[in-house]
Amino acid sequence: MPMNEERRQFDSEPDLRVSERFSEDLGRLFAPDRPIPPDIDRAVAEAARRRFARPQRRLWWLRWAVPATAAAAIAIACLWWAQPGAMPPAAQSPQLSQAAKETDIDGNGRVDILDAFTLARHIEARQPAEAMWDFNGDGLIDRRDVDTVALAAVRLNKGV
Amino acid sequence: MKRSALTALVVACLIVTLLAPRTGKGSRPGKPGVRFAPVHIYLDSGNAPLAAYQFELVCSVPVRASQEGNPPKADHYEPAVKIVGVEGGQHPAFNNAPYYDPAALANNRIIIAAFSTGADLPKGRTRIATIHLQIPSDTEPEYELKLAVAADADGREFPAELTLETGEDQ
Repeated sequence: MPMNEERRQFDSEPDLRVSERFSEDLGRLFAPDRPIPPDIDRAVAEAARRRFARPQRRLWWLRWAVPATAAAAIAIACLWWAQPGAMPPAAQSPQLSQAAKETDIDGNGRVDILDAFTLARHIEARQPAEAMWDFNGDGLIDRRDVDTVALAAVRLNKGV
Repeated sequence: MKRSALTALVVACLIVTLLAPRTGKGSRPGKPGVRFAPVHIYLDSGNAPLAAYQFELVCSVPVRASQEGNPPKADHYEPAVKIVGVEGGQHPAFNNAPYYDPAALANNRIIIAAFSTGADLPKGRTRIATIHLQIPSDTEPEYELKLAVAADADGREFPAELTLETGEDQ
């Protein structure tokens, strides 16, 4: 069989017609024992209509609720990011909230640049360091911890 | 599914188009009626070598007559003067950009600090930082400068005088 003819065979619609005899057999098999009164027939049809109409109404709401919720979420996200300085607090000043509580190294009751300066001098002098000065938690006490303390000192919502 | 996604996109675009001009109003760079100006901060340490400092600067503009008695609502407040950049000082010990909270940019208040552990430290009057501002072109800002601390190489605090100058040539 040529190739294009074979493809045509598969592409054509399947024959869904049934033979008359098969149709009659099915009719006999499922035919009611006695004739159904038209009132009952109408009542069943009406009940079926009501039953299937309800989910359609529900689907109408669903069809709009999903896109509307998605749209609102996208819109809020866009507007939030469009605002100046709209960064999450964690991105603005990482680790500062924890550091601010513990960075009063000189113990004078306030966190300022002298705490960072004290730590920097301590590190440069290679004096023994206290484990609690590992403010960024990387296992080392170095310039990065000094930066953490200094950033805590200049944090805006802390005050001078 | 495809139709729902398309509908969501169209509705989102509509909402953003309708609301964005309101939220972004006045925050776009380069809007007319704005100028940029540096403010130079000087610290006079006298005879003491300056090893560390910290200060706070607040910039503001006088309330205009049209706004008197009708102040802007808090949720719509946007500072008229905005800090847009920070530079280090003139002496090599404080040449690098000082410490500041990035949240201060686009704000009118900033806390600036720096220190040096080097041996070569400035004495007397020295420029410790330059702050760049965005200012409404028809106004002259007022500045509030507050020294938090100035210290020598041993970390000892000393009294110092903090001043500022405006203008390009310093």
